[in-house]
Amino acid sequence: MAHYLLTAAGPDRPGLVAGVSKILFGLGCNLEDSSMTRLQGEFAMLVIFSSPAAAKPSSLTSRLKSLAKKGVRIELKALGPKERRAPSSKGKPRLVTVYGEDKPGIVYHVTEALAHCDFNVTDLNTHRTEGETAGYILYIEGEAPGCVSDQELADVVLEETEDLGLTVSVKPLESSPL
Amino acid sequence: MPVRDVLLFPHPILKTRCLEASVDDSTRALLRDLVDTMYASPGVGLAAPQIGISLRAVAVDVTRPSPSGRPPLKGHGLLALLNPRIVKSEGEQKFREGCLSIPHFLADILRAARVRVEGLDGEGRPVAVEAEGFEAVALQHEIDHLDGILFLDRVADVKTDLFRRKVQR
Repeated sequence: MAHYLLTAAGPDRPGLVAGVSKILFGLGCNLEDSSMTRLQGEFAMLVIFSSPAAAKPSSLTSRLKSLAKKGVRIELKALGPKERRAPSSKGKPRLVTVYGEDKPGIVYHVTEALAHCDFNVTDLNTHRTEGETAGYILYIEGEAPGCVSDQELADVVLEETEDLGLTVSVKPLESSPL
Repeated sequence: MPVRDVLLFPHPILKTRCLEASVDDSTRALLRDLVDTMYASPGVGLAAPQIGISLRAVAVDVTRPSPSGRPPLKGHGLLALLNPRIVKSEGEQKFREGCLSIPHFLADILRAARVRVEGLDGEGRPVAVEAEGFEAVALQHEIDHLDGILFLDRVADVKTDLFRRKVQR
């Protein structure tokens, strides 16, 4: 059994996911982890899938590249056991929420500040709002060492971004399971 | 009393509506197993189908100390109920929920802010609880289990409600 990371993007239209997943299904592959989303007019896919040992990487690639005719760009990366293992948890899961007026450098300064605190990003979503003044909303999920409090993290981000006038909050991303 | 294995999604029992529980030695044993299994887990609530028994029984204790060091939540302490039902609910609140049967997923779920739950204790005596905050969430989550409803069924917005724990534990 081999594992691959597929990255694909193309102009958004109904049937794009079906087109990619049909090829994988036809080759006996199984989709494992994925994240797919529409960003403006483009639809982007990130998929980790397993393929049967018998499937040749060259035939996988050539079948997938056939989608290029429909404007879908595809890259395939073979994954070893090391790449498939998430780094062991180094801290407590948190949700960082940042918003304010849209200006260049928000993502950079916020993530730079978080990196100083050894915060490891696991998920990040941004949204730009239209209007007389464009707004920017940033949600970052990740882990920071337990010795750094939510307030300390927020303070470090605020200090690093003080010229940008952002609202920053950090919440624990956990819940008592039921 | 034995600590039972917690069944994991997609086990079919989790999607089955549970039968009314009678008051007898076997359901008293079931309540004890539920309580013991809950305390042996990191959870603050557990429903009978999660340990493979399709009967209407739940255990909830949001006041137990959290293994992750989070301060205990306010509530009535241990509630072990047969045939619990929500007889009154009001208000709205959104809490982040996780489920022992669906590891590595959290979701923000909109639920009633306050509920009145009535049921029976192990001896068949009527019990009524007025709960709010996370205890109200826990009771609603566990009673959902008795109807084969998972919190996955209550996610309203993929973009804002769903959180994946992307780390291996």
